[in-house]
Amino acid sequence: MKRGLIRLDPAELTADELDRRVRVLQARLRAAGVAAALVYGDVSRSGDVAYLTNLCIYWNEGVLAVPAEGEPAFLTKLSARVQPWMRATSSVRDLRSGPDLAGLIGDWLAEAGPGPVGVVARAWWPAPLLERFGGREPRDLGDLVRDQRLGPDESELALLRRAARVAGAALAAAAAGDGVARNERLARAELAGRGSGATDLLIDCDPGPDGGVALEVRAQVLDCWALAARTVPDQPALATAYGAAVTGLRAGVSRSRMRGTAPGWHVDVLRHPDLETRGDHRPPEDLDAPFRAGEVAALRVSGGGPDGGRVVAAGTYVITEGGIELCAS
Amino acid sequence: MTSATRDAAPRTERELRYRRLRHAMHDASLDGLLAYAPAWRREHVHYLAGAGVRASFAFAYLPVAGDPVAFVAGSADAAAVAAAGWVADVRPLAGRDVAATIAAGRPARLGVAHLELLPAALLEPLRAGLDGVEIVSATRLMSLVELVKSPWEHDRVRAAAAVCDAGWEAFVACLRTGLAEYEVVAAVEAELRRGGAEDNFMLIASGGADVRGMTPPGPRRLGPGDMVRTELTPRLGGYYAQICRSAVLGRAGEGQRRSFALFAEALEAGLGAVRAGVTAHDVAVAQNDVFRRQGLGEYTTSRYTRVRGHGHGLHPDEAPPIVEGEETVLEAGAVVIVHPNTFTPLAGYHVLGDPVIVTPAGHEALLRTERRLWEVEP
Repeated sequence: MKRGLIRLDPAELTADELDRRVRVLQARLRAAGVAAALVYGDVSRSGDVAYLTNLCIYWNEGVLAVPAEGEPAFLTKLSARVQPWMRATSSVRDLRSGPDLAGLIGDWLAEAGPGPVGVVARAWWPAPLLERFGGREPRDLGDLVRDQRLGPDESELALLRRAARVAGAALAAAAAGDGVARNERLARAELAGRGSGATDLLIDCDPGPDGGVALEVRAQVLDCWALAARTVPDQPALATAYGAAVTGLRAGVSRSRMRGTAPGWHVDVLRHPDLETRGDHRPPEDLDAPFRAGEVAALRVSGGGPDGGRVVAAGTYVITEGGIELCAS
Repeated sequence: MTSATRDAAPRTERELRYRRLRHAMHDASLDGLLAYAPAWRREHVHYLAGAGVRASFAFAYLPVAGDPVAFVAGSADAAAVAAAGWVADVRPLAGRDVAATIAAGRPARLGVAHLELLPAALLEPLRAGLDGVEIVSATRLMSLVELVKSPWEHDRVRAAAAVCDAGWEAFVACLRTGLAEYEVVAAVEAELRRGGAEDNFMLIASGGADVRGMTPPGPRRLGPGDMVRTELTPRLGGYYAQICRSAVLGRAGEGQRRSFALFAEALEAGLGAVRAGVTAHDVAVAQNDVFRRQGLGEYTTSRYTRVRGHGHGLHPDEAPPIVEGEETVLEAGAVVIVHPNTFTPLAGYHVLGDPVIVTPAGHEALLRTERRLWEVEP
């Protein structure tokens, strides 16, 4: 469950910006010839919905219905009693609650009228929901919203930088000190990360070599995620491999090419919209898609330690034509 | 981390669970049971594999006869399942392999727990590879089997309940004027982690009689006279336990005291109704009647509240919901929280709740924390 800071603050995300994101999507829907797009989200994978509305699916599941013209609606299993909070923290005004999500979708489609309907990222929709579209076969729009998010706008970049700073603060707190117990490291990370305003904080703390730990922190600020990781105590071989991978990351290279930058190590680069699910929902073509300047992505190098355990290093970067710059800077 | 959370589940626990599941499968005419774990609902795979996983997807399969199989995404999850020792056959997750493995047993009817959440990318290859096999939901089947906990599970819930007590102490200790809601949660999370918690389900609300419900924390800063409510639910060793309490910054006002008295009476009535053989409906009615007697019955409806309690264990919100009309019988060994949480005009949304183990004669209380309206120096 997401239990960190959730707010809609015009100083960090304006209504105009959220409106612009929806209008860009609506233009793409019209170009694709669909009357509406439905975006599914649950607590573990809600970035697309949050990007368009700042709605936080802190628990359970829901669907954002975006007509090609007009106002979006959010259909959710969350109780109607939560609607005042959802209105206060998002741009959505049309909120519909009920235990039967398929029924809510059916009602919304009936109101929306005829015309082809698209679903975003059909592969990750609960299949039983797709089977209850009332005879209307939804068109798969692919990763339409994720694609839109890959090039972060100015306000999103600012939030990504904040997320990177939160992840860094939590990681630094967890990594500080010798001989600190695992639970104490986690406690310090939670206090630092959530105290800095994380919307969500996911921490892996695995046994590392030399009695140490491999720490990996994913931090969320609104719809933006960042990753930071390090191994305690420092591992010189890991540092060398990480340095080599950093040198190789720039616009034009792909994940598949990055794999060869540090032989013997597992090198992965996760585009920022994929961080919330550890990259588990990445489309197959993502492997060979070159990074573009302006994208934000996390580089992670991991492997086995010299005497067992896991070692990992990671950071989140803005990709430029000539290389990368730390997102947190 | 306590010894309770370090100890792996014994083989006797595995045999008990598989025997109960297979009994339920027999009653439902299922030849196989496939548990699916999306990232936010992993309880059924955990129950079957005796291990938690991290990735966004996992399956565990129990045929009506023969050995279980787990399908996991990634080496960390494979290692976790193997280390638990319940499932020897651990395979990488690939849709066709799942279907081929199940098809080899020639089932006629397959139950899938969390079928309702199974994404097209996983269900479509399953269906394609299981032509002629009837696929039905087994979500409720597994939920009802999981409702009654074993003595080994009770020890885990007791350990989690001890972390609840510590979490509430941390909650009260940090409250002060000027602190933001999200900073309260940060302080509590740190204490829960210190106690070994792996996860937490937590809602909060602060303010006066206008507070209508609880949500994740916002930037609102606490002030004198605020009632600060929380429902916190740490997970330890895979098992959740929940506590619901409210505290006031400063001396409680008349409305807040009357509100607490109402909720304390309702909670006592609900707990008094709990014993093996009663239904969730009975426990809800006992609580709601207290409100009705005081002319506040409308505040027990879905307009103001969700449930009057629920089960918990491997998931923070398990079956059955304690609501009127829910006829699930509470058997001995079930773990439920009784909480009459709702809004009333007395002091706004108020929460008070305790988890218990259902016994033949009544219940075993799991928390040490007093049931009182806490007053904190502002």
